[in-house]
Amino acid sequence: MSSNKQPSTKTLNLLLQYEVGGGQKYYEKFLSKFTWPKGASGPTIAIGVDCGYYTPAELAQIFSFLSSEQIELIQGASGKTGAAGKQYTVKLREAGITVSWEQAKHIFETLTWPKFSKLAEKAFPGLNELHEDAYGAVVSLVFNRGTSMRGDSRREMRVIKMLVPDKQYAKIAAQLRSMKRIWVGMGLDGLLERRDAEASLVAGCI
Amino acid sequence: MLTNVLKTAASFLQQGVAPPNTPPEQVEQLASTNHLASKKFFLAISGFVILAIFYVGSVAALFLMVESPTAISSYTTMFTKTMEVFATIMACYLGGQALVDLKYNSSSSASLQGTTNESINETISISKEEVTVIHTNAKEDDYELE
Repeated sequence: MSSNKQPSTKTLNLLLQYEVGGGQKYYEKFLSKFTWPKGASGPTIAIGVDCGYYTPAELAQIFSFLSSEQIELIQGASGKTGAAGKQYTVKLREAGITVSWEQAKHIFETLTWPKFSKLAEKAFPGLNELHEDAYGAVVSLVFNRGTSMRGDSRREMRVIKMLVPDKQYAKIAAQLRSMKRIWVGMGLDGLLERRDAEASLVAGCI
Repeated sequence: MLTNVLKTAASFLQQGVAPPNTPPEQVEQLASTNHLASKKFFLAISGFVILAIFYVGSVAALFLMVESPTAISSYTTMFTKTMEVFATIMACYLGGQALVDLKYNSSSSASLQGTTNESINETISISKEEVTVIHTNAKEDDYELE
């Protein structure tokens, strides 16, 4: 059962830093139109809404404030990730679709955060018993890495799953830092920074 | 006269204020000039402030030396020589800089060439094909939400 926790201030700051470059000013300047954050991402807008990983029905609900033509175009982004996502982002940018900061915040508060905190709680049983900052760090991890636990690249996530019920903050932080191995030399140094920030957030709960 | 000198000094240290008696056609230009951007002006004004602090300090030190009058002579000599050397260094720098400016027609003004984070961000080109602004939320191939 979901705990309906709200993000702590530190969690919110971390998510805003790594999802929209810090906040309103940066968002309005560069991110109010669709962008593509590299990797296997899809067209992304608002506070980390990666349309490639949402169903057309979810996208229609998220962007209900837009015109029906625009919603239809956004629904076409569903399932388009990686190179296809990049290509479709160009199309969405050309259409001139924008999401204001206020709308982005509303989406985050009412849809994105509840969705991802629920997913994180399901993937990491006992998560809602953690300190609010550690809880937020793990939600941020799920936000960015999803809930899959399969394969070598996700071995740290499996370890974290075992550590969460015992509230082993130091070990969880170490696992978050250990994950950085995946992105070293990949031209995605921002993700190394993000994992460090999440680890520091968890370590601060000790 | 003293008032005008003080007003002039104050105007040089403020933005948007011209010295008294400035011709009307030059008021705008002088009011908008950042005098502290001039290294010569900056050095002169800081030298003046340092000398003033030294002077006040030295007079205060003299009061403390009333009990040992024999040391006063040595103290004043040391102080005078230190000030002489300090003033010589400043004068040499100012003179040298003025000569360089004269020869090369330069202004020796400190120019701000740094870039703020905001301007760095502005250099991110978001052309039609360039769609990546940040990648701190990039996904992996096996990303899934269950």
